[in-house]
Amino acid sequence: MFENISLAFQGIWSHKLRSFLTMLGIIIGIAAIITIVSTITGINEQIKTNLIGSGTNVVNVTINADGYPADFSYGSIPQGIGTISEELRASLDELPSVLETSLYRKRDWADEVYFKNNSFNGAIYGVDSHYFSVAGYDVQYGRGFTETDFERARKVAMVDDTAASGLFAGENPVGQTIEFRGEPFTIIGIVSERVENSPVINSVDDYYMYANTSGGTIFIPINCWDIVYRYDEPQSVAVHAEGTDEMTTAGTNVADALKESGVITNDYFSYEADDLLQQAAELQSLSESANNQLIWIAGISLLVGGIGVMNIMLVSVTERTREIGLKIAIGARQSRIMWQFLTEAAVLTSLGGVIGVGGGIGLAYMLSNVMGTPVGISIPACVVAVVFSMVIGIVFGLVPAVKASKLNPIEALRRE
Amino acid sequence: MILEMRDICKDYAMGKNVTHVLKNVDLDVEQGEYLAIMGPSGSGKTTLMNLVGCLDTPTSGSYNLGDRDITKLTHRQLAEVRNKEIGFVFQSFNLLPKLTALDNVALPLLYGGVRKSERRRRAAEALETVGLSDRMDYRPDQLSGGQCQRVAIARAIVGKPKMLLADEPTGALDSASGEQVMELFARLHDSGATILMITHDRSIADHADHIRFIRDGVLSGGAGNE
Ligand SMILES: Nc1ncnc2c1ncn2[C@@H]1O[C@H](COP(=O)(O)OP(=O)(O)O)[C@@H](O)[C@H]1O
Ligand SMILES: [Mg+2]
Repeated sequence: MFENISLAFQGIWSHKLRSFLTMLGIIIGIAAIITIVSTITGINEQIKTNLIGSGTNVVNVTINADGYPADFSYGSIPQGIGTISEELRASLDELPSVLETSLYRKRDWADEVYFKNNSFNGAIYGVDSHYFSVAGYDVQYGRGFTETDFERARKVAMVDDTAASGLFAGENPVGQTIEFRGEPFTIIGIVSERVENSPVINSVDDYYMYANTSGGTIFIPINCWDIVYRYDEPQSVAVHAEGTDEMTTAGTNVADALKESGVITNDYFSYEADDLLQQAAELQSLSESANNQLIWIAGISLLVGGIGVMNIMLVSVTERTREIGLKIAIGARQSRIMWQFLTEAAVLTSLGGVIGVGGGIGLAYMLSNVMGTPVGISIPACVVAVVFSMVIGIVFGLVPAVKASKLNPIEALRRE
Repeated sequence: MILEMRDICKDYAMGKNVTHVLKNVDLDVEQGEYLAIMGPSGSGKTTLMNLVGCLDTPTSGSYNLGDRDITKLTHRQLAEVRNKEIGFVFQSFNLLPKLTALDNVALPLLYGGVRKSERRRRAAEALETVGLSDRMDYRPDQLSGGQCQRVAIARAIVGKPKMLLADEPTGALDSASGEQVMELFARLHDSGATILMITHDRSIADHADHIRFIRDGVLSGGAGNE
């Protein structure tokens, strides 16, 4: 076996150009598949990261109306929706799979928020003292909210990096005053999400480099919410789960506890957990189904490559008729002749597979540079690709190999 | 008697015509015998050789080699007979061009399942017998025709077969190298080898102990040489 493999390599090496051209179909097919799979894997990781917040493991429990997320932005809170007390919130922390919870109110489209003459078009969050730790934010610049800020409902605000760059173009936001429906709030700090590959940020200028321009978020103490928005937005609960896999359980546990607590007496509404894992999976399957079609097309290239291998192996059998006849004459068994050609075909296509995997990874990174698509190299996918190309060699090498082993030695030796 | 053929016929069907290439051939070869079969081109020499060498099966007749009935063997058993009991020497050498002389000679041992170190030792020994110890690592294209044929003879004797079969062994050689090859056969015969040689050339056939003649597929009676 080992001897056959080394002989096969010699054979491939002695016909370098021919071997390469034969492998080309396999190389292209495998490279295309690896490129697609790497991009899918990358996109899936990105979707998961974006939705789930790169391992911050936060689930939001929000009010649903009749099973769908409720939207109260153009009206006040309906009857029968009560307030979650601090005691009730503290009891949620004790639920299984839950690390810590936080109460917040939010409005996705802020209105009447100005800095000088610029209006802010991002989201407003009213948060309690647990929020930044639960949702995975760090104070990057300035200071965070203190107990006194909450107790006295001080009109202070924090901005995230996006809002900082959008609203305060070039100026240091800390110390500036913004107006919420005519109420002045002082910016005391900047927070940013605790992203795993967070860029190094040393100054305000770095924020302007890093952040993009759309929207952003402004945070104010939840106790100040009624100053600006009265009770227009209901409370939501941010839940920090013990791990990514516990997110669904943690969210359900909190939602169930809130249902039992009787905060909501209106049957039309209920607290439900946003199932982000579910949403991620749905988005992922969307991107996968688009790309699976590409994989089928790449598969055709593999089929063509396989037929090319079969063709060249048949040529090789014809060219080596005398050699085969001689081997049979001096006592080689049919099975040995067959294995010799099968090994050669399998080595040829495996080599093509290895080159294809390398090329595919290279191509994925090139695409990523040009088009900004993420890359995720999957080791199992690479291994499967090489094994699969080997199988192609064995399958398409079978006909030539059997033909070689069944040669009539007399005819074979007569051939000049 | 190590070889015993009785009433062997070989027919080839060409469409509706049947060609009778060998007609009721009887052939005996004794242990240690050196026999030449002579005949003109197209008389059926190679066909007979292929039957003796177990590369082909007769249309009818019986064939015993050693104590085995060749007509009853399977593919696999025939491969084993060719590997262990017969040594082929062809007119056109049939060496594998990418292998060295040593590896060419060792090939039958590889198929016979002999260990690598043992293969090398025995192949080197066979090359020494044919006087090519100094050419072990040469490839066929680096050797002369006569040297190639001696490598082929080394390959034929390396498995210590019961019988050597040579089909026109000097056919592709100049007379000087042909003479060397014939001397080599004589030497192997002297040390006990059984040789069956096929030729159309009287001066080559004269090297054998006995000559039998074949014409149009009919093998005529044996005659002592000298
Ligand atoms: N496979 C075959 N089919 C039909 N006829 C054949 C075949 N092989 C050999 N013959 C015929 O048998 C005869 C003897 O051939 P061969 O044994 O090669 O002769 P020699 O070796 O004596 O020159 C020739 O007439 C040849 O045409
Ligand atoms: Mg002939």
